[in-house]
Amino acid sequence: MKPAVPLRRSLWPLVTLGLGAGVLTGCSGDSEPTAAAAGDECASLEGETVALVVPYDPGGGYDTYTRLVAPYLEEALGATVVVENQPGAGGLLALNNLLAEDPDGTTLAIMNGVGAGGSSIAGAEGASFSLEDFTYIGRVASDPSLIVTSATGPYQTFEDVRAADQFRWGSTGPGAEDYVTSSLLSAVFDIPGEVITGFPGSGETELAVIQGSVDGMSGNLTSRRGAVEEGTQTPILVVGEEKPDWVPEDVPTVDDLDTTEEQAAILDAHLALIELGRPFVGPPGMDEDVTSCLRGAMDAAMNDPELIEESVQQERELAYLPGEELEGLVQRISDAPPAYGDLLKTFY
Amino acid sequence: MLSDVISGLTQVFQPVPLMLMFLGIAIGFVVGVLPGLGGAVTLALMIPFTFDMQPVEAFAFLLGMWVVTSTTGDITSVLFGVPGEATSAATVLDGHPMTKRGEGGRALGAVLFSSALGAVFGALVLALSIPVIRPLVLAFAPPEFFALTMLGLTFVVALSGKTLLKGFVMAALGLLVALVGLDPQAGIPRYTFDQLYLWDGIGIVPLVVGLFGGAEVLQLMLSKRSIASGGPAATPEASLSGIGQGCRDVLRHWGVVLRSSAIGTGIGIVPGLGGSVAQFMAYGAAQQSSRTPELFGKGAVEGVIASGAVNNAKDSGSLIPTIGFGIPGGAGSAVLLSAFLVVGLNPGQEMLTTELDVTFSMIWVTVLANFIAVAAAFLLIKPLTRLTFISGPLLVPFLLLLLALGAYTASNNFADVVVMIAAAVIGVLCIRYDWPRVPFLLAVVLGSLAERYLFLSYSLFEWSWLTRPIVLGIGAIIVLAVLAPALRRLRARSRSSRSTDEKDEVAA
Repeated sequence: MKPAVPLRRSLWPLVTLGLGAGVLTGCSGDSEPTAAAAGDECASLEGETVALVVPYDPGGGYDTYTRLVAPYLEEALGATVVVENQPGAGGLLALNNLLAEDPDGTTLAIMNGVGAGGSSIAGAEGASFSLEDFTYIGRVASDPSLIVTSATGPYQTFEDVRAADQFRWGSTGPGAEDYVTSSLLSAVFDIPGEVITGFPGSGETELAVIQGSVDGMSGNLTSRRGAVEEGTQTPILVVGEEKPDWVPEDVPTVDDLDTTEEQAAILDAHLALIELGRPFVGPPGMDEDVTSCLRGAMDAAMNDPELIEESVQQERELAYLPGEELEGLVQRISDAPPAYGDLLKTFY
Repeated sequence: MLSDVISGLTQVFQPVPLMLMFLGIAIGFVVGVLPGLGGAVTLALMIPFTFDMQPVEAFAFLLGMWVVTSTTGDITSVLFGVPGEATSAATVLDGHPMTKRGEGGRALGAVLFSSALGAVFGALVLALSIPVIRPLVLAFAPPEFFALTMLGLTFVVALSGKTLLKGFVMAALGLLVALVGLDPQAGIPRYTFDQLYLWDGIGIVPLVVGLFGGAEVLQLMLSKRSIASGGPAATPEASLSGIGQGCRDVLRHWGVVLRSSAIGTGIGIVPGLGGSVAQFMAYGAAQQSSRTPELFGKGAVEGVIASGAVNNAKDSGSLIPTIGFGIPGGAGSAVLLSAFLVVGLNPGQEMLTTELDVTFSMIWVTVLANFIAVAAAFLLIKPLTRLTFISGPLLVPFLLLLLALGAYTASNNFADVVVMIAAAVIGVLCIRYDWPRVPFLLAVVLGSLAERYLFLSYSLFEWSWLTRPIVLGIGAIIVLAVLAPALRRLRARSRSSRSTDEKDEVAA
């Protein structure tokens, strides 16, 4: 195996080109996936240690995804990749720190698109960055939300919720994903909603939904799967662009709802933020060579059939999106009507 | 059900699960002994290795590792006064003074044996709760959690020792520290001084490591002697011969073991309360019911027994909501939850019906792993105990490293080391001027929880939560817990003559 490496290395730019073209034309060509990559662009990273910062405690979704991808990125990059947990301030601490890191590609972080993006759009205290600042390497997973209600409660469809006299949402607190999504839906669809805050985590909020002391909650789509399949929680709305097949046919996505133009504009901006999902990002102003090296390696890693198989096995669905496309999403968010930003400001 | 019990056991005793369990135990052993790196974090790091495993194999490995960390964490607490885990802080209080007296072997014997018994108790409760697991979990909502935090705070009275006023002052200071951070309801930063680090409040791990471990190490530095130089008969041999006595102490104080295990399991079930609270509640309860409460904090073996039993019982407790609903009871079981998904199991009904044998295999692992770890620990006690007879100046650099690592690894933030050092200074001052540290720590941990659940109870139910049956029940216990010592004192005073009063003064 060893002698093949130099040959593969010299082929690397071609492979990147081919894969890039494959993605652009929409066909996922996973022809030459795990090439040990280190072309000229990657020369500066060779033998270096790349830190992947997780802004949360070990064991959560972000941590699991990062640890899942890290070995494949290491293989594709030819550099040592280590995962570092840097929890604090709901994930903002690590991203603020990332701003000050050297843009040489040795420090990257996984970002919570809705959490961090929302904070920066709303100009919330604690977020000293804007989404445009970061260098986008590629998205690991999308992060759509699912609105669920108690299976034994009075609200079994989103129409029921829209017609409710008073709907009580459970949430961990202002600025959190569940707070932003439920407040946004209440505001856009004129639901007389009250958000009960202070739950220490989504597990406890779920318990309150099952007990019926709150009417519903918004939460990470994949994490709800067990409860939905077991029938303790009823899914009523997917806040995202795509719906996985385990969600029942009759559950709408936000796009399926009847909306006015004004409502649609706000929802579209929010969907773009949700589509940002969980990307790997680097510090601002990263060198072009390093950026394309990292993007190429990310591309190779995310298309590795072994990684895909492993993610399926873990029920951690991957949703790769190249860095260039993430830049497009960031643009879409920046172009959102001011009403969206004004609305978000009230949620923090 | 009985067939599932047996099938669960036979599945654990297959060669592969058994081997993996031993591997897990070995890892957990080391992680537990080292401060800082906790069971939950290590679980997270080990999950990727379980991808290709069968459910029983994966849980033999992960659970074997996890349940052992809290057992071996106590070893570091007893010998060096540095809590090996955040959940082993209560063990320091009496275990370390015993070591200083040259009774390290007895303390270790007591804490390890009671740990093993606690694990059995917790596993038994978990097994018995299977038929009622779901209604049990559903009966607890924020009002019940709030009542439990209040019950925890009443132990401040017991834990304050003889100077109640000092205890209340320390608890009040603790409540103030608990206010630091984003408030749980509105997300408004309080006392954060524009430091993002403070948004999450003062970290419990650096606080515990500094307050108890840091303070002990600083004292050791200043005394320039070995740890175990306090007693007249303090020799390694004498210390080691106490192991058997420690085990007998556990049997003699079986009531403490039972009560502490029950507290551990109960607190474990409740999401969010966790081991750092449970240990002090068990400790407080042991002190309250002891015939010699004044010895607590100076090397009372009952205190060591209580802190040993509670830790291992709580792990099984926190598995109850995890298995029943997929809602984790604590940080460790939150990580275990992702292991369920990795091996293709769905927590909930499935674990209680079709996969019941897997559930029972998990219960068996918690018991077996603890017994194996305790047996291994007994073999290692000898060399470890000898360490405490090394002269202080030689040991201190090594302990300082452990402290700094212990604080830093909690969240990879240097500010945690600063908090640890500040806590160590407070700890030394407390020891020097005889102010109790435990009410302070208990109030820090419980204060933020109490606030959160009080507001949540009100937002959910307004005032009607006060009439919920479990809340009323816990309320009655609180009243009894506060009044009982006072009544006892009153009765004792009215009965006894002046001379005994004077005797009390002297004893105090």
